[in-house]
Amino acid sequence: MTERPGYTPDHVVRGMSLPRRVGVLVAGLGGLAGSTTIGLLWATEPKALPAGTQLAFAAMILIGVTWVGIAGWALVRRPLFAADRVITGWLAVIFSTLTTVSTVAIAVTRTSTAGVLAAGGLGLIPIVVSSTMLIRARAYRAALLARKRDLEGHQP
Amino acid sequence: MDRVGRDALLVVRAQLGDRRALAELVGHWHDPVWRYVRRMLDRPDQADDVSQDVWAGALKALPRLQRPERFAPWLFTIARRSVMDHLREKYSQADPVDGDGSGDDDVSAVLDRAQVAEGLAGLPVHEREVLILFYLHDLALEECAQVLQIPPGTVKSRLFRARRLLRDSLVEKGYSS
Repeated sequence: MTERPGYTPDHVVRGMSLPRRVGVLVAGLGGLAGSTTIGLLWATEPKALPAGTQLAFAAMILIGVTWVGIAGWALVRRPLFAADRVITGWLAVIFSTLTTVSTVAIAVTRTSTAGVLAAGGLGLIPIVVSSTMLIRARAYRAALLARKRDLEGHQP
Repeated sequence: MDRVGRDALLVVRAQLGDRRALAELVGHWHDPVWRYVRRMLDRPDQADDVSQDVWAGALKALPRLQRPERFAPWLFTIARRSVMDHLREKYSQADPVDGDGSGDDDVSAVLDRAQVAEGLAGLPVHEREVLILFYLHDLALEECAQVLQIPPGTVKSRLFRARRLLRDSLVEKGYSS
């Protein structure tokens, strides 16, 4: 049988480069942080916003949510390697911290002490979750690096 | 470094996120996977589609592979599942059941790769795949057993029956045993 595959190994690994994978993650997490902050700003406005501003806010929230959807879809379809998991963990910690800081800042200027505490308390949840993700990702990577050293030690 | 050690190191490097290791790993197994799928199916265009499905599934599951030294049987298990899903869609009839053949025979001595390849097309699916894995991809009995999810003893008996069927098929085509 002299037939050959109609595609190459490069075709198989296309789209697996690190900048491409991380770019999708940044877009998704940025979309989540942005739409959350804009949504909170809108919700805590003391007076009704002009129609044009409402339209602009709605459009920005929609764009953010769309990027979250695209990133989620890409994450489900593509493999998540150790480096990706560590980078994802760091990005999640950074974005969740920034989002929490901004929501607490908004709460300080616009709501009561209870509102500030509620914003801070709610914001702690994603920070704890993302920190746990990061710790687990680093442990997974460390275990793989140890395994790699072990296998390289067996090379003739 | 042997094939198992080489693959294990490439798998671990790929799991770490090393794209070159991933490309090298795919490069090593690109042809064998395609040839396995091609010999199990009738048409080359289907082999391309199904083997690309195999790679999509394998790459997605690669970060979760716990035992990198078992990469080859793991990959062929995925390939086999994809082929079987494809065949199941194509033919709604039941697959042939295992016989209980046993013992040794003298047919293997006269088999070479070219003859195996030529005679494969007419064999039932189970017999065809065990010959492909054992003779054309040089997987060990234990590895064939892992891929086919049957005991090594059943692999032996299936090989025995497959060789006899293949010999009959080749004799019909004019080869002498």
